Amino acid sequence: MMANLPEDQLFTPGHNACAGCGAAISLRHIMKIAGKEVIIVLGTGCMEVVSTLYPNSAWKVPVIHSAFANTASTASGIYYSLKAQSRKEKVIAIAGDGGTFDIGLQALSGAFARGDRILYICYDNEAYMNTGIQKSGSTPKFAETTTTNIGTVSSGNDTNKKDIPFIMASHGEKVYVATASIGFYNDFEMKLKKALKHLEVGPAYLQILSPCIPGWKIPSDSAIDISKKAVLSRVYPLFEIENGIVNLQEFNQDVKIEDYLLSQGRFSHLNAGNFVEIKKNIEENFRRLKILSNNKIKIF
Amino acid sequence: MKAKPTQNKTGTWRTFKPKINLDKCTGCRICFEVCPDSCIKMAMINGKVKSTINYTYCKGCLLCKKECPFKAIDSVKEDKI
Amino acid sequence: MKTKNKIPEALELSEAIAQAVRQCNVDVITSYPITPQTHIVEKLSKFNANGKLKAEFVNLESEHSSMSACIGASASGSRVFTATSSQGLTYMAEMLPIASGLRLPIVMVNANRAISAPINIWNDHSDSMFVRDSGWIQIYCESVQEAYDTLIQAYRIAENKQISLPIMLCIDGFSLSHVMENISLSGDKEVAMFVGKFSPTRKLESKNPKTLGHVASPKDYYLFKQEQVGAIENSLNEIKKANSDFSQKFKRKYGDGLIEEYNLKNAETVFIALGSICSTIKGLINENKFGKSKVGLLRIKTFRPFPKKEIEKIISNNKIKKIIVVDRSNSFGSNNPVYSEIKQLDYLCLNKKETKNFVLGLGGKNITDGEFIEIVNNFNKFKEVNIL
Repeated sequence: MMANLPEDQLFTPGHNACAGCGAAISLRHIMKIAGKEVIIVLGTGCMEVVSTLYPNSAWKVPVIHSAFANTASTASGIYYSLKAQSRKEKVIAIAGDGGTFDIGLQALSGAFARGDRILYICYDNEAYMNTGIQKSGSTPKFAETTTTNIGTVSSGNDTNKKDIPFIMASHGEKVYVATASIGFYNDFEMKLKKALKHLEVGPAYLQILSPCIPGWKIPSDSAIDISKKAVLSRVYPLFEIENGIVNLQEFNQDVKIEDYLLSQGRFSHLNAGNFVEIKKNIEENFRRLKILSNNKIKIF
Repeated sequence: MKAKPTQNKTGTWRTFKPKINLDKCTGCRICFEVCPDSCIKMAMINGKVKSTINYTYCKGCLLCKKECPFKAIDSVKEDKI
Repeated sequence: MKTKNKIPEALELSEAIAQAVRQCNVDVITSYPITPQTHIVEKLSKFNANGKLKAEFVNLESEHSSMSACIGASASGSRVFTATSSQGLTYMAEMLPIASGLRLPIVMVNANRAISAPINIWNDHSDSMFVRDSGWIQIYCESVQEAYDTLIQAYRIAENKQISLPIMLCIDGFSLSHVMENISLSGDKEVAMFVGKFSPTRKLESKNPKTLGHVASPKDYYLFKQEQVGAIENSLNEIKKANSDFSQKFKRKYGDGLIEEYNLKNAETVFIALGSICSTIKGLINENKFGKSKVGLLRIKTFRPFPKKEIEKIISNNKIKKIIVVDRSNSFGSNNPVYSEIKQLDYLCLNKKETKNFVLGLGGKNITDGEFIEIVNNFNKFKEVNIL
């Protein structure tokens, strides 16, 4: 469990993230691994708003925020500028799931299709949290948000989570893709280091499950625990796609899907029928990943 | 326009205050890793590596308490509320 | 590539712009196609493919991304260029005030084209007028030569440390973008020396980390806007200076850089207009097509910042009795863009003069010589605002 992280803070205390914020843990960890020789592009969202309120900034590395839909294209511009100047800094684009799965997808796709060597990190808290918990393309089915309310005629979100990791991997075998969880630091660190190294040959996409205290309706001390349960219940599988081949991380422990979902207020309304459907989808997805991974099938 | 940074003392947010029991703390660094606000520092106390808390910024989320494998962190309610 | 700076050559505007971009040692060029600008990025792409460009040429997947990439690249210390028109400009409209707010000296050519709906690919000014409040310096060119010359000056103006604002060079789509003229290209070395090197006071770099693009709360936001206002006002003088410095070096100038006076000495009727329509008006003046009427033209070259004082000085001439303000777009529900600027001139300038607004050539509509002559000779018969 010990990752032996360096002491220096490049993402400092004093930011305005909620107490216990999973995304803040992600960012902190990213900066500890990535180090100083980086240029960060922050997409509009929780992490941008909590860390760059004038006249303060929680960043001790160069950071730019331009807009919401363009985290990846701003990063591309920086990448080409550094290339023109023969500079060595790595370009890391950081955005939430709203800014990645939905409004930011076009720019992200463009950057990866061009092969721009940027590391794009999505801190996935499964909704538009900064604006007060609204559904995004990442929101799991049946989750409650303020735009997918539970009511007499609605059981919450009625769409499945977009499979962005596979979409990004489909941009070519030069793309490195991985999902990670703040509940599994060593795995997260390994993937982040790999992604940074991968920038020598192509773009990298990292999606990190980052629980949101108010959004998921969970206690402020539970982000790490829930991030573990998400993986161990197979709801949020950890895998890489490298050279077009899936590599699934499997763990010996098992957590019941109900344990994971019912530990969050946003799923407290689930009925037996919902669970059946959810379990079916989770198991199918995991089975598919297992087949691809075990057989090292080259899908892209 | 030159920015004049101010201190944003998020320690004022706390309802509960984590406290490290130095006898139980083994210096494993897990609390240092999980704190979302980088409020835990490792320090040499009586020749041993132990965790210390930066109360200026600690928001009292108690992740450190939850994740400590040695139950070396307690919490008390903040007096000033 | 050998540039012939003595003998003029026939070049399409797109080629002239591409040459200027090459000569200005632009570092990053972002590209996305849209009629009628596309020739510009195509020419640059061709230079790039033949190794004649020392720039990174990037094909983005939308105009919004194109401007975003310009922002990222400029913020990282690169001189950048892009081009767009119409729907592309409105699609990237979100990013325009951001580029200005972040004080990035981006230079962009906008090939003026009508905005939808209905969809129309021909020339008017509805696109650039739509974004006139975005905090960009807006300069309108009349000829291929002027566009080439102004692009070179644009980098110098934009990168001036008292300004540091983006510049939009407006050139009429088709009427200018696809026009060939004999133009004199200047030498590579001379242009490079005139423009100098891009050395921003601040850029994204790890050895001096800074945060760019903060959230500014109500107590701070207005301070940034005050600075922007100061910067764009500073640019009035710098634009004039760039024009005169350029003239000294390359022997070509365009009025004072802000406005151009044409036959105004004894004029009683004055056209006020922007862009290539001014060539048509000049032609009619030269050929004495207006009969007995003493007609002159006040061409507004720089529209933002608006050269209020310079225009007031000219319009206040007592000889002028009739003012024909030409707009090439609408501002629905109120005075059209150029007309509204002229109406806000000092009362004394417009006193005892008749000022009328003519919206000409919307969506590329052809305005005949006869119609121009009709406007002048039967001025009194027209309403205050006319769409022809």
